[in-house]
Amino acid sequence: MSGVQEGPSMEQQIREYINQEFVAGQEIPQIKDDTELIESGILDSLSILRLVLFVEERYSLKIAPGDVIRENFETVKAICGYVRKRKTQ
Amino acid sequence: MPSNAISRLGEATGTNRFLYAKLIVPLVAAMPAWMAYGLALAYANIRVRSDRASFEEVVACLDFVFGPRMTPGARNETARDYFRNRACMRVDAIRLTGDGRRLIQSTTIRGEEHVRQALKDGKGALLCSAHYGSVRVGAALLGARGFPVTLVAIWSLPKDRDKDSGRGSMYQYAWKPIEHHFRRANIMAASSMAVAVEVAGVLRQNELVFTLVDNPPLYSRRAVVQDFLGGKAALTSGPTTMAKLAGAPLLMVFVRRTGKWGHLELEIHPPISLAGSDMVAARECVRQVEEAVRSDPSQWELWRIRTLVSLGLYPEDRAREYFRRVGRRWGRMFEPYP
Repeated sequence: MSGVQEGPSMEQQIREYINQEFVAGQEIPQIKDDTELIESGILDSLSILRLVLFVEERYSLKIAPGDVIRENFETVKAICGYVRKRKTQ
Repeated sequence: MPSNAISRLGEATGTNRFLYAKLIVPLVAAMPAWMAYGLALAYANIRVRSDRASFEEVVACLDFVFGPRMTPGARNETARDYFRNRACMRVDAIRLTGDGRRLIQSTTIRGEEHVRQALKDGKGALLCSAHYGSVRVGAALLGARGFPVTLVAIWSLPKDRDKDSGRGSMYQYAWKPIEHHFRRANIMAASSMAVAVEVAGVLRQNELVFTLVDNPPLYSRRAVVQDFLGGKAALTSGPTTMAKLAGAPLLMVFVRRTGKWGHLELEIHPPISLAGSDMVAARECVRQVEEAVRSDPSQWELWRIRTLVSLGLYPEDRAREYFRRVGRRWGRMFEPYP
């Protein structure tokens, strides 16, 4: 055993945030990494703002409004892909 | 050739836009206020006589909401004033061309200190109003006063809606003379998923965002049913949530036309408390709008049956029955933006 404890992955953190903030209490199943977030109505304009503020704070990023497009926010996988790309820039 | 066809031809060829910008705007801007507003009132009086269907529709809306509490005489007078207010709004916009001095001089501004304080605190402010009085002009007037204001609006309607309403293009160029007073291009309400992020972005720059709370739900997917004008209406709670998330104060603003047609009163209220739930603050916004509408119903722009149906205030079957009775085509209701 290496003894090194890894924290939750980015996917896990974002998935948990969305499940907790936007899914809990609604009659929809918990989301997966490839669940359509916009098409399914889980995210709307205001919840995307909340998610953006969460991502900015958690990953020390500044997200420009121009980056808030379907392609970057349609699934947890897409959000993580966007964040990773931004972190390496 | 019927006047409708002439108007459509002018629209299609761009002649209407050209004449409005190059002839009407400079001419009205150069007139003394009494003459410009006098012409607007005369135009409104002609419209009331020639477009009886629209006039009767406003009367029917007032009757539906106020019932016997408003006498038939008062309903007719209010409906007449509704058209006068709308005509005067165009003159307001024209008098705000250039540096806007003409209109600023005939406007009483109250509560400007709340905006100054908000900007001093560094988090911008969300200014909230309703389709009441000369609201778009009022927002631009704050810009003309030197405040960095950006408007959340729907000035450019999608093509298919233009055909439906027949006013899309006019709607855009009537507000052209005031556009330069805004700091940034309009944030197009409900046009994309980034609207709230865009609003927050502007607030982060310590600027002002001006929005309306009485938009029918087709412009806002986040509508909640609230008590309004004696019924239940679906209104947006978005502005309160956005202000809270951005940490910006929420100020209600009303731009009223006072007894004299050429005089406006722009009143900025102290910040609404955002300490409780979003709904508490949203209810307070709606309460203030209702108070304004009840104090002078003729200044509310939304006295149209289809709009009241969109808000959920007017039952659709009754509205369809009204349209059938007066021999008007119901058409299709607008679908919410995707």
